[in-house]
Formats: sequence, structure tokens, C-alpha cells
Amino acid sequence: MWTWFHRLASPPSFYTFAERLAPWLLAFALIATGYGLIAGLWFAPRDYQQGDAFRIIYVHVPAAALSLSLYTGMAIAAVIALVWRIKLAEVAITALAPVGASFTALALVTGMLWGKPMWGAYWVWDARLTSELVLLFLYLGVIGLDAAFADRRAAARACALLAIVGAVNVPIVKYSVEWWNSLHQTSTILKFGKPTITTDMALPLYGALLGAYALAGVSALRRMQNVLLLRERRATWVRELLAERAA
Amino acid sequence: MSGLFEMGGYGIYVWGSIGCALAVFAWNLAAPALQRRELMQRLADPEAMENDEA
Repeated sequence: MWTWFHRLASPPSFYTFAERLAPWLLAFALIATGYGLIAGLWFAPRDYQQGDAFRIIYVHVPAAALSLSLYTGMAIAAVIALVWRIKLAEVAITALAPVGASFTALALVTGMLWGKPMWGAYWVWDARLTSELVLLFLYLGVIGLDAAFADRRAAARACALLAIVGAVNVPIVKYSVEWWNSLHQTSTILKFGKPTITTDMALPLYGALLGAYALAGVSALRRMQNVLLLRERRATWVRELLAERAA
Repeated sequence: MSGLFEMGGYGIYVWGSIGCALAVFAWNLAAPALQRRELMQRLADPEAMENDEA
């Protein structure tokens, strides 16, 4: 098990692993997302309070869940990069930041489009919304910091520090709806205990969630491959790969 | 069928959200693919790479 991990952490092995995994993950992402959205928009019953507006859940919840999961992943990679100086972990920080930022922005925008008809306002300075906005700025901060350094190791260290410090915001986002009086509704399925939603509504949501996670995974793998190619451009394995392509 | 587009009067919000989501999904797949193609072309030329500290 550990030797397998060690081998996977070497750039050429990870590159090959990602190359094999990505197409399967993409196929799964398309099927699950397709099912989730079609079943959610079409077949799921209308919500008794929110009517059809609740269907925004099928894109909002996956985006919001990913915004937190990807940040958590980035913070874990940051700890590994700082403590063990593993190159692949540094690469993961760089790769996860734009994916996370895009899903955080999506969670905010779909939330606004849901807030307008339900709360009467696109935006309120409420604990959940504000902390999610801070999350977006943290991602943008990591992206900016990464671009600001010429030396890749220095960039990784700076980004790792920011990612770790910013991680305090993750539980704040997650539990804001319980800690403070928020306009935002509390969790329906992503919590301990029984889901408070009917199966006809829940199954498409699980599909959309799994699909979005797989899609974000494909994007992160592909970005990691790109960062690796650039960082290792003088290494034998990259030269061999390019020679193979040219042949 | 028309109900699916109107979404009980919430059509613009629901379809607006779906549209944004599909755009983000597509960007997440297309951006790294385009980046890869550009990178492969750039790295294939070893001379251009020597002076370039990207």
C-alpha cells in the first residue's frame, strides 16, 4: 500500500496514472451529471414551498459542496507540501485552486439566482453568503500568489501557508447556517442522520453530486498533468513523452 | 413541455443557473485541454524552451 503511494507520487507514474484514469472518470461524470440534471429538472416532483425554483439545488449544492471539498483537498496538499516537500502535493495546490475558484463562483451565482425569487434579494450579508465569498477570495489569493513567484518551490510554500491559514474558513462556511441565524436553509442531505428529502428529489441530487465531483476530479487531474509537464520539462520522462508524440 | 421552460414562473432563475453550471463544467474540461495542447507545442521545441522560464 505505502510503496504504491510512493510510486504514485513520482511525477512520471502519476502522469501515466492520470492519463489512464481521466477518460473513465469523465465518462462517469457525464453519465451521472446527465442523469442528475435530467431527472432533477424533469422528473423530480415540484417542491411544495418553493415550486420549481428548488430545482436550482441540482447545480447549487454540488457546486457549494465542491467549493468546500476542493479547498479541504488543497489545504491537505498544502500540509503535505510543507511538511514532506512532496512535489506532487505542490502541484496539487496549483491545480486545485482554479477548479475550486470556478465552483465557488458557481455556488455564489446559482445561490444569487435562487435567493432572488425566494428571499427577494440576490445578495444579503449573511454568515453563509459572506463566508462563501471569503472562500472565493482565498482561492483567488492562492492563484495570484502562485503566479507572483518565479521560483516554483517558493511559490508552493507561500501558497501552502495561505491555503492552511484560510482553512479556518471551511468549518465557518459549513456550520454558518447552524451557528448564526442565517437566511440560508440548513443541510438536507450532506449531514449526519436521515436525509430530510423525498427519494424522487434526492436520487437526482446524488447523481448530480457524484457527477460534479468526478468532473472536478478530471479537471484537477488534467491540470496537475499540465503543471507537471511544465515543471519537469527538462526531465527525461517529459523529453521521452514529447519524442514519442513527435514520432 | 412548455412547463419545463417556464418552470412555474421561475424559468429565468432555474435555466440561468443551469446555463452557468454548464458553462463552468465546460470551462473546467476545455481550459486544461487547450493548455495541454499549447504546452505540448511549446515544449516540443527545445531551443525556445531554454530562454523561457515560464
